[in-house]
Amino acid sequence: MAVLFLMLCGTAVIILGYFSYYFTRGHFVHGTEAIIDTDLSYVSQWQDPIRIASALDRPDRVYLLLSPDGKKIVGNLDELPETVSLLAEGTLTFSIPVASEANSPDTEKDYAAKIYTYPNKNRLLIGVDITPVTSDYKLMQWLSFLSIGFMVLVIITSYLISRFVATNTNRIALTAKQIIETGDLSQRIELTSRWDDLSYMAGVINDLLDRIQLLMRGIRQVSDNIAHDLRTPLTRLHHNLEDLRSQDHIAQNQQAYETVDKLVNETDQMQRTFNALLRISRIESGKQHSAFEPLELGELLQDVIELYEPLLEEKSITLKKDFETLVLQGDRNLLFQAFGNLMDNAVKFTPTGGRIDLGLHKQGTETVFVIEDNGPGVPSTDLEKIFERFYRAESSRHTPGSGLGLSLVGAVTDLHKGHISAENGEKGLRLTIRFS
Amino acid sequence: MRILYVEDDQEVLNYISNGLKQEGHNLDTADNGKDGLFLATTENYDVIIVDRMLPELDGLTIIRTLRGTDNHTPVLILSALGEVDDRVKGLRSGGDDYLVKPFAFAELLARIEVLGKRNGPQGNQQETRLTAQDLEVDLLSRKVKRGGEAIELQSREFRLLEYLLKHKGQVVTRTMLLENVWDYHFDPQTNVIDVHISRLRGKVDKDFDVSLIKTIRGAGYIIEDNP
Repeated sequence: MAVLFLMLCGTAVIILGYFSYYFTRGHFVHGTEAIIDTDLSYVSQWQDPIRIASALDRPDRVYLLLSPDGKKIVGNLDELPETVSLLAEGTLTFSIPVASEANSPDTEKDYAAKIYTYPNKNRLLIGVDITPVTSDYKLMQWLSFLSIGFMVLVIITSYLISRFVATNTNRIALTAKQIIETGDLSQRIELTSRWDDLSYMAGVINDLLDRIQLLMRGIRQVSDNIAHDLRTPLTRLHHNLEDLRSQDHIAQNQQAYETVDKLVNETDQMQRTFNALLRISRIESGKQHSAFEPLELGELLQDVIELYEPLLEEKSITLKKDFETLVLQGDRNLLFQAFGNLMDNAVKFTPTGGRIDLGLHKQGTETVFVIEDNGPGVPSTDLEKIFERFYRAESSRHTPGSGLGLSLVGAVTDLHKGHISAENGEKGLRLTIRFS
Repeated sequence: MRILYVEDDQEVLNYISNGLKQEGHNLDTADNGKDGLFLATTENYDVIIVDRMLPELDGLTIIRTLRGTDNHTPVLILSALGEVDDRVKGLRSGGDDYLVKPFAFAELLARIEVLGKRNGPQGNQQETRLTAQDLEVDLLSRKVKRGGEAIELQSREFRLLEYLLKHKGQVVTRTMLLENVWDYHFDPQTNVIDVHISRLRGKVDKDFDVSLIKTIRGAGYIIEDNP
């Protein structure tokens, strides 16, 4: 960006400089030439040196009429100036020292001149005093150089500023990105100075991060407290019920035993839901990667299939799988849980004699996992919601389950930098996970 | 078995202590880390149960200190933090098993029995042949026979049976089976383990009068040597 800015500014300055130079110079040259040409147009008609002299003998003119052999016929110059330079095509310019005027001995006058050759081979030089014009021109030139220099200064400064802005915003963005990716809220943007607006912004963002970290810690604290304060009495309830169930007078009474057993299972279910909920929020907020290791996803999926095989057989479900050998950095237990939940869902919603398709492929840089059942699918309005906590499809309200299975899958997918999406395929629900 | 239980929640401590005593275990308790470590280093236990979060000294420090002094008593860690990272941390610091609160007493009991046996005399030698009543399993040739008749098992069924037989006479819970036979720590949403067991039963018990694999209500499964 800085380079682009530099190039744009540079081009603008060059164009501007060229135009101002071209126009002032052109104007000046043309003006002078016009004066000389006017003089020449008169003088060239006359052959008589006296007449020429009387016409040209003015303070702002120099003239010199030379015979073909180079002798002076008439003129206020004694000879042709030694050093001349070319002002434009056919126009010369030279300087002549001015006969000393009391206090400024060294002044020179600049003249622009043309030489006209008469038919009789006499040559006439007419010069116009251009001292005021050249001094103007020099001033103009000086100003142009000054402005170009100034512009260059501006360009360099703006390049430095834009580079400074770019590095600093990039640094802020990089820190933010790292925080998003690692979930490590203890990272802060490094402050290199205190005086500029960007450092001020970085400081504000750091304060914001402090605040978020504090809040996150608070949330974790609260959920830990909930975990502790609610789990402990729940555990006691569970223990006491188990204890009751094992007592002789209950164990011998079929009806009482069944009631207590049901209560034990209810508390068990409560604990499971509770644990699942806590686990999801832990996975979502924690971003723990310490258990990550390279995993062959196909093997892991094979283990999942193997675990669910008896359930598939019970419902005579045909399983079709198509796996490539792909390695992913991941937490094997969490991934097993996620794929297990997906498989569990698929088995639950696929009718007897149905089929489930599993696919694992590499698409570009992404690892894509697809599971498709031929169950009833999900109403298209609900497709977005199925990863929300406690979502239950209308049709599955009365089947067992907590409504947390897919939320957990979503959390695990997020942890592995994946993205899960749901759609109704040709047969049933199709879930796709893309790991980048 | 001689068990040390270090726990700061008085009610859980009482409940578990009573339960373990009823099961005939000899129990010492401590309600803080310092006392726990003192008992663990001065006395000889078969199994130590420690809570992770303890006053004075936390559970993991106790384990590390024990292991540092070459004490290899099996340790079961109890924790209210049910995270995978915590489990990994716990096991890395030298714990032998990890149980997340809340847990069923039966689960704790089953795990303690297994841990206690591990340190016992026959736990260290490698057996190549496992038996229970008229069932024989050869771990080398991977052949299973019952009453002289060969039984064909799939590899996972074989490993299920092997695990049950290795812990013959001990209750094995569903979670223990998942962790040891499948080698994954996760929470199945359905009774998928029961289905595996019933398939195994279909092969091992179906044509015989005596059922070897018994279900223990509210706990898990067991294979016993005596009918």
